[in-house]
Amino acid sequence: MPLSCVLVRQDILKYVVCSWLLLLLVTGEWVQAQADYTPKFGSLTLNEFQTGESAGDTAEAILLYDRADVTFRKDSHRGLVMTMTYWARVKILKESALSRASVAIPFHRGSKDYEEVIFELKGNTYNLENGSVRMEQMDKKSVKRELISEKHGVINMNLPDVKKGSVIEYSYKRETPLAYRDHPVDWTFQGTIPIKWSEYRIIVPAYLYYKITMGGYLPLHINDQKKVRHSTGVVGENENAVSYRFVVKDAPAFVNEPFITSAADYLSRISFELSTLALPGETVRSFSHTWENVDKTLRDADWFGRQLRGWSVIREIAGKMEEVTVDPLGKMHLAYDFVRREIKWNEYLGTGSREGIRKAFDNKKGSVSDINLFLVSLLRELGLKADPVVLSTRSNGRVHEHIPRLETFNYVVAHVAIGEKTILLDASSPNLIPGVLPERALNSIGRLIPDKGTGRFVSLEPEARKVVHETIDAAFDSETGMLSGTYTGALIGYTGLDWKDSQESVSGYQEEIVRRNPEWEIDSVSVTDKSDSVHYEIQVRYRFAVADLTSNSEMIYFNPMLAGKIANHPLTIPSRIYPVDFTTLNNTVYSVKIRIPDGYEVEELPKGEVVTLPDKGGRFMYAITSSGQEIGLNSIIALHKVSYSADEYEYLRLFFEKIVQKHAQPVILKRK
Amino acid sequence: MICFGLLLVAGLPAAAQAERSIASIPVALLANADAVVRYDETSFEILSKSQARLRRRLVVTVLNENGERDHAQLYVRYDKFTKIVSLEGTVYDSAGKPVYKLKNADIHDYGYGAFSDMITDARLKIAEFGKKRIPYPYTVEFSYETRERNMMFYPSWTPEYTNRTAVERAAFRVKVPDDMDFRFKILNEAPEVEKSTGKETWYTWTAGNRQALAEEVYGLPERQRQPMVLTAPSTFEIQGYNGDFTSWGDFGKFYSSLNRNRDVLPEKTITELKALTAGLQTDEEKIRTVYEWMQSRTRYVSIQLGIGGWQTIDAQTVATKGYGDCKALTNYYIALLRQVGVTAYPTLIKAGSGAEIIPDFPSNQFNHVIACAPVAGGDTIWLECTSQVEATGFLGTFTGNRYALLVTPEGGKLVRTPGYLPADNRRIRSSMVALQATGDARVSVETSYYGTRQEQPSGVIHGKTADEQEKWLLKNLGISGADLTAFAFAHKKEGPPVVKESLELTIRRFATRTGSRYFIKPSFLNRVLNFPVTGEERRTDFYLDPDTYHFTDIDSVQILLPANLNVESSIAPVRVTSKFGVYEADVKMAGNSLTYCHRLSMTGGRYPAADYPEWIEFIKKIRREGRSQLVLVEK
Repeated sequence: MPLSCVLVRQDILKYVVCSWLLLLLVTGEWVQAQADYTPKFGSLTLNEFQTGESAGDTAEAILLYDRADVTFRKDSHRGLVMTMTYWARVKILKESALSRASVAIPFHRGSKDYEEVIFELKGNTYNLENGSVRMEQMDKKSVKRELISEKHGVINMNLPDVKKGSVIEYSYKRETPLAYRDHPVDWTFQGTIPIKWSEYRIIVPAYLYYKITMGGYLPLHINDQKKVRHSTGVVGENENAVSYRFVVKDAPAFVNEPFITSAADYLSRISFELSTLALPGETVRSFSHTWENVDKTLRDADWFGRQLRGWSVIREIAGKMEEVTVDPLGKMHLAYDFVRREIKWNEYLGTGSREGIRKAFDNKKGSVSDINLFLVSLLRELGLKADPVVLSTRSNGRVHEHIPRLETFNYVVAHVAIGEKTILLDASSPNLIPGVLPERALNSIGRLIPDKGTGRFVSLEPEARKVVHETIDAAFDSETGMLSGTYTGALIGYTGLDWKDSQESVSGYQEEIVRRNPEWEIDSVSVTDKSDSVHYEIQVRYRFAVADLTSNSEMIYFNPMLAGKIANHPLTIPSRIYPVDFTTLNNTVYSVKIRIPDGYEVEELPKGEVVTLPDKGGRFMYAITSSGQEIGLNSIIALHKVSYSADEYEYLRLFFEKIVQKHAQPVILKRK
Repeated sequence: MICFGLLLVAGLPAAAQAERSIASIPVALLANADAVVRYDETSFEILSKSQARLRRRLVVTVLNENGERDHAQLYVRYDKFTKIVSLEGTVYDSAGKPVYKLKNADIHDYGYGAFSDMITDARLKIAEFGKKRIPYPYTVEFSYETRERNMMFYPSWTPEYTNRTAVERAAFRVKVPDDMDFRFKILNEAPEVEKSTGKETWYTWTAGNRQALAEEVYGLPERQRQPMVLTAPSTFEIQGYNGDFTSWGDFGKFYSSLNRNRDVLPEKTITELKALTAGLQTDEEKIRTVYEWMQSRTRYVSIQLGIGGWQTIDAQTVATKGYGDCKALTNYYIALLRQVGVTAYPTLIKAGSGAEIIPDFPSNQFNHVIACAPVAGGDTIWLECTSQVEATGFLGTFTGNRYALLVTPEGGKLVRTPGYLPADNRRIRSSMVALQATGDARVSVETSYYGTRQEQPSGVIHGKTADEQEKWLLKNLGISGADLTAFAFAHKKEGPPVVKESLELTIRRFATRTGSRYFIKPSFLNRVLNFPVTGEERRTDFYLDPDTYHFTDIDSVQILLPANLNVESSIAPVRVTSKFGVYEADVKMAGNSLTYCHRLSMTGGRYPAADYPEWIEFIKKIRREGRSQLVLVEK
């Protein structure tokens, strides 16, 4: 494979608007000259020491320097081994950051070929003494090794003489056999504290071909790659290799915001996936670097595609179901209910079945992939057109169509086509129904892997929304001034599913209703779960009375938003660089009828209002009328998109601002 | 002999099978239960001053998923002094038939450090039954034996389980050699002891038929409620050190001897220290100066290795490394003070909000060490040596208001640490609101926090970035539509510590407007007391945790109104008093300025069940007052 280098990237100026991704192809030479910084371990200037001491920095600590160097070599016992040299320099600015001087380095344990080795641990502490920087070295006794479990170990080291203002520095090497992990771990250029200089270097020998992807919102300060001669002990002294160097400068601390899919989608980072291994004298092994390869890898994998061949137990189960019904939809429901009942989710995710779906069936317990691959097998055995769909959960990050990567995925669901209709199925949770995926799985697209031919992307966007309908019918008692009436609410779609997932019992929920409205007298609470195998609906009804409304001898003031009121603005931060993601579409409807007391008339009503979001993104309607002794109000909030870009944030904020404002306004009644 | 021992421990009636079948569970025990402990026996055989054997057999019927989460695994801790001799387990189906036996592969071994920040040699064995799902209900049985060589601690026992678990039968047995003293303490109506004096002396406590506990709001602290048996040694030996816990005096002597001669400091430190304190006149000044000096040079690292859990790292090491645990930092600080002629003592304490020891039962009930410096002719000064930010002399909710053991060379002495009364835990706030015609407002707020009230804001000052501080403030204020335009904090540590907080805010819709009217809630910055579910009648005493309920809030809010507004509906002055506290509020109008004054002072503690309706009424009234609105109308 020729080594040359071309950089393909999206317009970097757009980074504020959308997450940019770089796909680096190794096909040329590209060097960029930039201000460089190359400190030395064990040496710190006064200037470096004082970085971050200015009043503006309020972080508890700053990573002055964060660097990794990765190289490969062949070891006679363990085969290919990668070595990462890690080096960090931290300025301690607050007492709360002192714990950063206690460093824990976790490592993988296993049989000899699979074990990671941590070595060459070094540490220094720098303090200011009489105007100059004094260094103290960490001694060997400050390093302790603990074997946490069969597969994990940790090295704890404690740096000496650390106080507020100190700079600490440490370094170690980590050797990882490729037999255990065939690619370097992701490197993040951003963290919970600001990073002044984050540098990642790697020398990749020609016989290894990694697909390198970058994500996030920060520009690269240095992006170097060049052909080099390098020895890894595979061919000889002069092997071809590519040396990469990436630097991000002045990365601010990453702040997590509400309504995001996963921090992983926004953090600036670099990740690797092995696509080809071409060791001299061995067959070239190719891994997924096109979607077709990903499809094939999955289809041929023992832990995925090969799990789907029919076997006798499944045939037997299918046979019994065929006796019950021949209707395809009916069979699907039978199969779905069967799997949901028989195999309980053990809370593990993953694309592959670790011990096989048969074992999971025997144990009556398994991972998401065990469960849903079993479901696909059973559906196919029933003669239905069923295929697995791999996806990435919200917390695992987005799937990018232009970056074919097997590692992106961590979840499996089943896809069924019956006539014109396609239905997604996840049998891992008892409250799910066909066509509804749990919220964790609602992450835009998944890849369908058919048993023959090329796979394709399918939308995961659900038909179901988060829907709440609330109605109140109430009247004032002219004698007591008390407002009483009935409340009827319906939780539909994902709101209904949320309810089912969070409630242990109906009676518990009845108590909760009383608890949530401590100022109301509530009785005759009824909660009915009207959900069935195709939709969710929870119905809530009760009678209520409210006593202490603001009033005097002449006036009564009250807020007609007796339920469904949005009192707090959900988007508190003034501006935002990430999209706002609500997971599903939303629809909230509240309507109320109130009879005002005889002898009173309406003095003032809030004004009606309609607010829309650009591009038909959403609508808020507040309509209030009075006729005779009756006041009627409708409030409808509809969000027509799942995700709103950072550009739309300001509109969204104003939209909610208006809702909060209208929902706070009272009605004023006056004695006639 | 061993066989006989095993038989004794197993102690199973002939109907063992019945014990593991579901059918034999008394129906009453199934109410509110996720699991039923069928049998739980702990037997502790004291072999000598330095050794004991502990055996436990536990049979639990798991009724559902929650029960499985809480009971299907067994955790056994071990370390340098505790060795696990055996560990076995079996699962039985609902009929009591064995279906699975614990295999070696089902027992996992973990370093204790994985569960905490500690550096420790303690480890855990976790046993759990394979991967196969077993249909509910089923019964698990675990039994294990350990050999104990840390005889500072004897076990404590309670027949009570939390987490919706009923108990059918539980027993605690202690075997004592004839030539040794044995001490125990029965708390909160735990069963009485039965002593058998045949060939061997056994002390036995048994209990049973305990229903699963329902969760209770305002429940009493465990120590005041939970039936428990504490046991303790008189004389013991650990790693060659002999001790005696018969009296607190003896306890102190042991701690003192274990930690003797560990206070030598490097010359360099002594020189620095002398320079630091030169010219200081009083002991108070020295205590404070040295404390702050130490705070700026050390950090807390928990290191618990072997006897090091009780024996301090020497002062020399702390001086060079700059870190240590509570014992080490306290020992270091006391060594520093000694160099400047001030005497201080390590003080053993049980730290944590509401944690208490049983004062009339000398035994190792402590988990922390602080320093105590008595000042001749003045107040004793207490010092938390593991904190880099605490004010000199402040203990707060972590170690204040409780018994502690002062360790002097002559022995231990039980003392009480200072408490914090409602009047000490003040929050004093004054706000100025400039209301605009739109209903929006510019608001400045000045707040001072005292006593335990300053613990949280002090943590925010020292531990959070400006962004996080802003988020914390906004969340704490809980006002919709508020934006912080500026804020500042100060932590004053001279004398009793105070946190001062200044805020500049803009609040959208401070007044809600409908047409020509303004609705204003002047109590916008007050706390809203949580309202419990009432429903049932209270049958047990209730507890308002003083760490939360000992406080005083004093507020004054001045609101400058836009011109030409008339008051249409005002708020009447109010004063609500009860045994739980006092609430007062008052609004005064002068020109276009409106002043709202408010005070809420509460007293926590234990209250009789009969007072509960009054408590509910009190919260209701306060909440109602808090919602009061003023209505202003354009002229």
